[in-house]
Amino acid sequence: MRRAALLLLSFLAATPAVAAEPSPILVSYSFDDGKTDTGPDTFSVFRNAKGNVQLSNAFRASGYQSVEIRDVAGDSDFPELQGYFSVRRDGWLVIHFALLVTDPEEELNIALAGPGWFSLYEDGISFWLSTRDGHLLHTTDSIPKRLLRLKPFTWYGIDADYDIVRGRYDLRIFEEGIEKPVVSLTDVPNAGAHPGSAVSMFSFIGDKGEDRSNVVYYVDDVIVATDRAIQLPPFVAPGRRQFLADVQPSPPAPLERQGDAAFRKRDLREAQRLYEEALKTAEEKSSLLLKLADVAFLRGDLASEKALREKIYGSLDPR
Amino acid sequence: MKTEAYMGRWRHPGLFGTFLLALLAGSAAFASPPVRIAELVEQDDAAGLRAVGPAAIPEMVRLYQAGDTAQRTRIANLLYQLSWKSNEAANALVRDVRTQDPELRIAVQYALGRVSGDPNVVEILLQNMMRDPNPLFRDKAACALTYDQVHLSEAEKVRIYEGMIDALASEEPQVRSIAIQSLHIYTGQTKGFHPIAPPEKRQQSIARWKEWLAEYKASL
Repeated sequence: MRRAALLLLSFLAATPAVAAEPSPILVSYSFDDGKTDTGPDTFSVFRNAKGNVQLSNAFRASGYQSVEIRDVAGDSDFPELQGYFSVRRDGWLVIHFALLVTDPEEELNIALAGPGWFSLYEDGISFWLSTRDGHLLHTTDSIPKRLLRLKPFTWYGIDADYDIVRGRYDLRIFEEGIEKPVVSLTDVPNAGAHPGSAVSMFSFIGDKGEDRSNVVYYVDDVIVATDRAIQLPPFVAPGRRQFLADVQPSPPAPLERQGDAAFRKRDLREAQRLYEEALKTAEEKSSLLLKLADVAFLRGDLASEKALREKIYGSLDPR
Repeated sequence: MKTEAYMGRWRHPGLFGTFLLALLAGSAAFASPPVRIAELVEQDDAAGLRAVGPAAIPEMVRLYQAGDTAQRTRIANLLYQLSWKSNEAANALVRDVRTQDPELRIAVQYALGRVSGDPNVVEILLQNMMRDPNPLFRDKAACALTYDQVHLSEAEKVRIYEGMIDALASEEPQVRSIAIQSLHIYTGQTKGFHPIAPPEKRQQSIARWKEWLAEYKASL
């Protein structure tokens, strides 16, 4: 557990890393620095139905903003902040975030998962916090266990050290105004008791789709880091480290494939024409929209880039 | 047995909340005479029935009880889709939970968990899963226990886990197989259990499952 504290101290001491230089930080969102571009290499925002995810200055653990996640029961959907980082299959992962709930009785779920998505299977959820009957729970060895009774309008700092290969973590939870941790657990099995379960994403939601939660909660200072510095490619455009047409194998649809070829030659006008033509008949539009966002960015049309990208990945802007 | 993860994706289509349904029911009940419900049932129109709300249930139950096998199967499937908790619907359906008609049996087994949080339904389905002579019915009972017990609390689900762990010791390999599939879907784990492993190996895994169950109960 000391590992997390030492790493966090070093993170806090460091200036934000230049993206191209090795850094232990995979994810760092303070929500105060304007770095809130959604995208495939940052995060997605789902604001379906009446729920919402947006920046808020109502409460913050640090700085002047946090993210508010608001679910509405009975609206047939749920809001979600879903973040991404490169898949980690070994080493340690250090997770930190701050959490404040307005009504502990309302359900929320927070998870760190892998390419197996949000299941308890291997490579699925490794770290899972939830609320039930006013308590904060973590799921370990497929068993939801109570951690503490939550107080409303109180910040909690969550620190987890996750040993990916052993599939076990240490967990400490700090309550605002109390120096010692109110929860301190060591060497507990991950959510599905799967050693080696990979991780690549995190998620903050209300209920899991049962449509029964009216939760309103706030998240701040999200940090995910490794125990060693890794070199991440720099961002080439907001929210992404690579242009999609440069990395994705050509799809079978001829127009999109031709558009990719034009994009790689940086014939942006032709690429745009081909992507727009392909979009008219495409069943799956996401990749075409992102490729059009890539084109717009390279053409300097930042407003169009943002609008196209946010059709897929959403936005934290107030609505 | 279906094998997708029980949560599948974090985001998946939600059910209508009971609050919303109650609101809908309050306004629609008078506007939906029995003949209208019968039409919607005849047309297999779950969306239309959803718009009416739970006020449709008494007439659906009456139609179920008066109907032939095809009509009962259709209504059971509609009740499954609507997922409205109703003792009245559960009481009607449970009379057919051991019918030998395959389509009606499967429809009823699936629908029961969607209309009821009654522990007796879990017991009946566990019995079907472990003891029905027909392997198809056993398999579908396991599916119903795994995917469709939507009104049970975490504490109430313990009985399902207990039943599945008991079924790991069944003499029937298929029962052991569907039981471990269900536990895998619920928990993401097998604890080393393989349905055709030597008995002593299976016993070791069952012991681990029993330890897990004790810890689960202690955490409630």
